[in-house]
Amino acid sequence: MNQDSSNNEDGSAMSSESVHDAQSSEVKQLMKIKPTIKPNLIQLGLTLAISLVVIAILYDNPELLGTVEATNIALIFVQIVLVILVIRIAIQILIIRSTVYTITDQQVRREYRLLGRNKSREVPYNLVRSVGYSQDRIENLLNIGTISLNEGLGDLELTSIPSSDEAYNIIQEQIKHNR
Amino acid sequence: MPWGTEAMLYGVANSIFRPSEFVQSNTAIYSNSRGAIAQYAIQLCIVWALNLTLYALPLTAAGIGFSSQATAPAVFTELTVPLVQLTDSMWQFISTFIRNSVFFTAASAIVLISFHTTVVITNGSRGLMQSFHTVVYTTSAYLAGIFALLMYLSTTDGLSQTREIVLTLQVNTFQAVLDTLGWGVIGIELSLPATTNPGPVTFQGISQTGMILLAVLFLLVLYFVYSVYLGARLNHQMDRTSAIIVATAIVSSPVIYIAGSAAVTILINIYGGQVI
Repeated sequence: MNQDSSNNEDGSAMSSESVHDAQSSEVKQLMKIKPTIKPNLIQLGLTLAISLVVIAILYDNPELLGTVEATNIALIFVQIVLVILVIRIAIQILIIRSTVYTITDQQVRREYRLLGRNKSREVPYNLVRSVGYSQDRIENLLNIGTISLNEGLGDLELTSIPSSDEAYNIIQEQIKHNR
Repeated sequence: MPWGTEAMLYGVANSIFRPSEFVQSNTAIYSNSRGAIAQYAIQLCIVWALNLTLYALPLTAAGIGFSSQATAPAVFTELTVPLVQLTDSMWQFISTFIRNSVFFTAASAIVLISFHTTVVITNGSRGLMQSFHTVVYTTSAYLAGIFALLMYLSTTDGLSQTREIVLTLQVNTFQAVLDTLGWGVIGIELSLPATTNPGPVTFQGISQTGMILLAVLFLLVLYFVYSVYLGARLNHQMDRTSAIIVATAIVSSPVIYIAGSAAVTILINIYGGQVI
């Protein structure tokens, strides 16, 4: 089970300040990671390039789809899709730029900010049921990776991580240690 | 489930820019008690009902499907007379609202049955609630959008050519299915009634607004199919091939409807003594 909170502070309730302070001071931060936006920039570049080529082809061949009107409809469709994809990638870049992953000796945590809203999510190691590591083609080229915890059970995904091997090994070690 | 204006705005933004976030359910809920699951099912029904109202209420208010002939039944009049003076008007409004809701409700039910049946057949089901969540969100956003756009096309002046194109595409699709089922499967010619002849699609004379509406309509159809695929992948944890099978089944479900209509027509004609 993951814990969600809409603030940066941990949501666990404590009976006294001193207990809270004592417990906080026991948490050891092992790794703090800022994900990279390079894959998203590559995605943006590819999207723009492919869309502009398709738009250019449709402009240069007004009767490509039989009639001028049919080709115009396809042109409008491609332009709408391009705008949607560009905005989508821009949102992803905004989220990733404000995202921080923190690996401590007790949990893995993801925090980000979007439109003035702070969101954080953490998974304590004793609640981790599965850990996965993956790299798509772009991530492989850039030597970054994605770590997934509890996939299918309310998962937590750490995407676009530089030094992903090191992070993965630390998480695996902490899971064993906390079982 | 988050409510409120902010949540709705996030929902609208996610439905356009992040459909995976929009469609994905919080699967952790389904491991909770039956009470929690029942509560979530009720919330999903409320989401669906609200979206149905958003779709059908403007149509009803615009007078689409309205019949001034309808008079309220005695039972209804008895119940509402203490509350409203114009019981006939209230009855006409309610019956028009129901009439405008029927098609969308039936389509949602068909999508739910097709989706969950296919998921079960492909051995990928994680439960009915996951299917229910997927269908509520996909139909509420994208299917409602398609229906609203079609209704706008059929009732707005200045879009007759666009309307004609959509109708011709529908008729041609129906006839193509009938041809496949008829000649291809049972060896006889099946055809639509004489008033609805298939023919070539003519784009000539279409306005700029009509072109934009057709592009948006096509986009909504793609969004709908893609969201069904995402629902299968994310909520049922299915692999790509199985999710594609599920999406294909949804796209093909109108074929079942057409085949059923053709079968019923054949039986009626044979039983009635007519020759096809």
